[in-house]
Amino acid sequence: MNKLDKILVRVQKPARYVGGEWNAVKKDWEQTSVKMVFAFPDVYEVGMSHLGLQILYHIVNKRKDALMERVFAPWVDMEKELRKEKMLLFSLESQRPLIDFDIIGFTLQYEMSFSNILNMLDLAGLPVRSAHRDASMPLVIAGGPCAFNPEPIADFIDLFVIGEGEEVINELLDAFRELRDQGVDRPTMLKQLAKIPGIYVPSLYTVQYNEDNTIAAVTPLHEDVPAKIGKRIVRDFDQVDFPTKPIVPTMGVVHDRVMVEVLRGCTRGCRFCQAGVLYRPVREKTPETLVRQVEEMINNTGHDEISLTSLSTADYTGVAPLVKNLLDIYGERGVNVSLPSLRLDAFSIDLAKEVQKVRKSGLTFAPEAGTQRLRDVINKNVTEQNLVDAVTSAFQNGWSAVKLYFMIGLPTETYEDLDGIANMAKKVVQIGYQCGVPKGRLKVTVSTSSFVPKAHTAFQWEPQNTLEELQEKQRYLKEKLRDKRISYNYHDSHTSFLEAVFAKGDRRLGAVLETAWTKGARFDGWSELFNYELWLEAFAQENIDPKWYAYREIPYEEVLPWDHLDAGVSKRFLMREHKKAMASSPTVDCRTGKCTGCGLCPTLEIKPTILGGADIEPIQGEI
Amino acid sequence: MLILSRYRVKFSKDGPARFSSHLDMVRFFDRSTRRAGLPVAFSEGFNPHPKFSFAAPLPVGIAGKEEYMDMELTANLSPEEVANRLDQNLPEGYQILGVKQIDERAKNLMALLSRAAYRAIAEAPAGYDTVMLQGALDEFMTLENIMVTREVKGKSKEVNLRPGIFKLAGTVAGHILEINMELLIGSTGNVRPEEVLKELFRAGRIPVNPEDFRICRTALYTDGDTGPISLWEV
Ligand code: SF4
Repeated sequence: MNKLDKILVRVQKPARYVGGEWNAVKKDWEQTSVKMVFAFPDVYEVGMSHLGLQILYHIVNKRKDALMERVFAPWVDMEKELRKEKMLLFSLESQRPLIDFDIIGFTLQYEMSFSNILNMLDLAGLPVRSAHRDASMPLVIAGGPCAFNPEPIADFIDLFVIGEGEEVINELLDAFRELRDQGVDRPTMLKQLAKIPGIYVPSLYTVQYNEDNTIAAVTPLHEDVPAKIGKRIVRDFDQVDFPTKPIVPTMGVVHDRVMVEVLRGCTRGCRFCQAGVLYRPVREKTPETLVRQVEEMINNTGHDEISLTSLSTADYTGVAPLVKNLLDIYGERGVNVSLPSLRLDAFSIDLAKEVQKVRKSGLTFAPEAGTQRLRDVINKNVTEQNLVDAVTSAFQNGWSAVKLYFMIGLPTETYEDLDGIANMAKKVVQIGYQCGVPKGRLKVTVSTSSFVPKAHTAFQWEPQNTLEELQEKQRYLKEKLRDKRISYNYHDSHTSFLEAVFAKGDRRLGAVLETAWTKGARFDGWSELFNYELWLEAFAQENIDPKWYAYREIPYEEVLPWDHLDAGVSKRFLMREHKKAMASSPTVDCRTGKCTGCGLCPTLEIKPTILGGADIEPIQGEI
Repeated sequence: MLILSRYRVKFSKDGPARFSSHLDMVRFFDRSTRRAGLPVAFSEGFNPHPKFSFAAPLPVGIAGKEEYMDMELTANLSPEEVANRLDQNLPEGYQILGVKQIDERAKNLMALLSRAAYRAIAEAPAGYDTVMLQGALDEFMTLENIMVTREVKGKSKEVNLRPGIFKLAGTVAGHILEINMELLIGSTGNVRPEEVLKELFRAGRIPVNPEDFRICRTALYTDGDTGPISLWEV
């Protein structure tokens, strides 16, 4: 009996490690030139729910000369077994050790998975620091939203892909293949790869610091390395390759359904939202493309649910007819349609009503803040009346449970805003009664997360509330929301604090990360494994004050650790938005037809694609 | 009127599929039948589910050489067609061994089931041979009581395995040690192969750690008039 079989009977959920799923691709190893493994720094169930994995898996495996396999972070029980049996971390498809691959590609979805990246490299038998790896070892690359401020993990990754991966992955593989076949050393290879637009090679830049710990400059080490790296963006989103033969997971996963991306980007411009900036401009797929993709996916997977995904699906120009059309086609076949994110309006309720699956789980609304003043600060363009209308419509249509989602610790927040949250919740309870929801069934859930300032947003200069402030606010709300019909839950503030530190961190945090990992940090996003004390020890040992990163108000003039990475939206626009926030002045959505001058379209020479919607003329020139 | 046709499907589960839980497997069949375009009948109610029923769940990690499920279809297809379409749409590790149409009122699999055969294979310790192994097994079978402790809903319970062990035989061929067992399974009780291996090890009867065995369920039986008969022959 081989070692793996022996291990697998001893761990929880062994199906996480065996592969063999429907639509998984197993290529001839010997006949394929470039071998890449997609590494997801969380467990199988989380990773397999990630659309980006399916997209890149499909694109790479479509190539004749390349293959892509998968690996996920082994859960702690599996890690223990691997270490005990001295087995190297292996891929699911061919069960080969990661060191046999040419490229290991990590996805950076969440700061709290950084420690898992180091752990996976170590389990693979590789030095965690890129400086200690050479051309005989796999090239370690990373992409995803956190690549827009990758500085805290810059020491461990050879190169980052900034922006959307669909096109640049092919350029990268072509270049890699050529350079490898020439037998160049690692530094030469990296220098060449840095010429591809959207590729950031951190080792080719030096960071100088001022006496007060702030950054003086980030400068390229060579003349032909770009001083600023722009993000990659798919121009023809409607026609770009989309995986209509996705892998069907073997075990229950977080999102166990077919995911069809209906549009990319969001123009609403909430000032705390990083995704809204990173995925700009908005691009919608045509209904014909969507219907075709859904049909292929259902036939290829056998799934019984289609999820129409995006940052805000109800914004899709033809969403109502599209949903109706899909329900007509698939309802009879026992296939459900679901919309993951709903806007706070009666129109969305109408949609939700059509899509009966949502009814069971209850409806979620995200007013984000408790008062109009604060909603204007964050540019969340919903009013109390919107909420009233939406929940009224929900209760009238048979829902008896609603969830309200808020953020606490937002810039300028006062206790009046917290009172606003409590008042809204109570109002929703009242509406429920008025709409005749039976007493025993009515349930309002209030969830709060804590504001985390993120790079490339209008709030990037803002401090986070201290732990004490956040905890006090949570206590206050808990008191205010003491009501049988309301349940209140909130995110752990320690996690939010570390998230802020790493979201706005610089290269010096690499040492902390490595120390924390050595001390045993794993799966920090999982509350049962997160160990705050251990992190504090790591900060102390490296002589770094995490508070300096999270709690400091940053002046506009200061060089930010991510200033050399360009998300397309201009810094001047973000400053303007920040000032408008402080003046509680909202900014309209460019979807309405009026460009607000974020600078992205002229910079990337692109225009939003909104079907049949307003034809937007982006403001050109200096903004 | 809606036509309902009931089919008994015989299949095997091995390779990576061995590590799928029973629930995962039910979901596989749901998706596989949909990909295969088979008109599966669904239960009524708010959360309709496909009308599948299985003989007995296979514990995670154990392969099945002859497993059974019944499924209902809303059309009358030939068993060959059902087998073909299904086989082409099953993930790695599953294979359809046979499909036959059964009476709509036939007894369900779980009610029929009474006995399961298992084969456990491990590396034989040096110098260990068939005579030693069979001797140990025969002696084990002479015991009147084989008491083990089971955890049932957080409570410990003493159970006698002996009445549920029908057959025990072993061979050592080269470096492969093989134990074949026939154990009680179904609505009247259950003896798990790991329990038997553990008991054999614990008392020093056989020198192989129960964790080192690779187990597969080779057959499932029902009680016939003259002894056990395969579920397929019912
Ligand atoms: S440049 Fe104007 S049109 Fe383009 S995304 Fe920004 S605000 Fe919208």
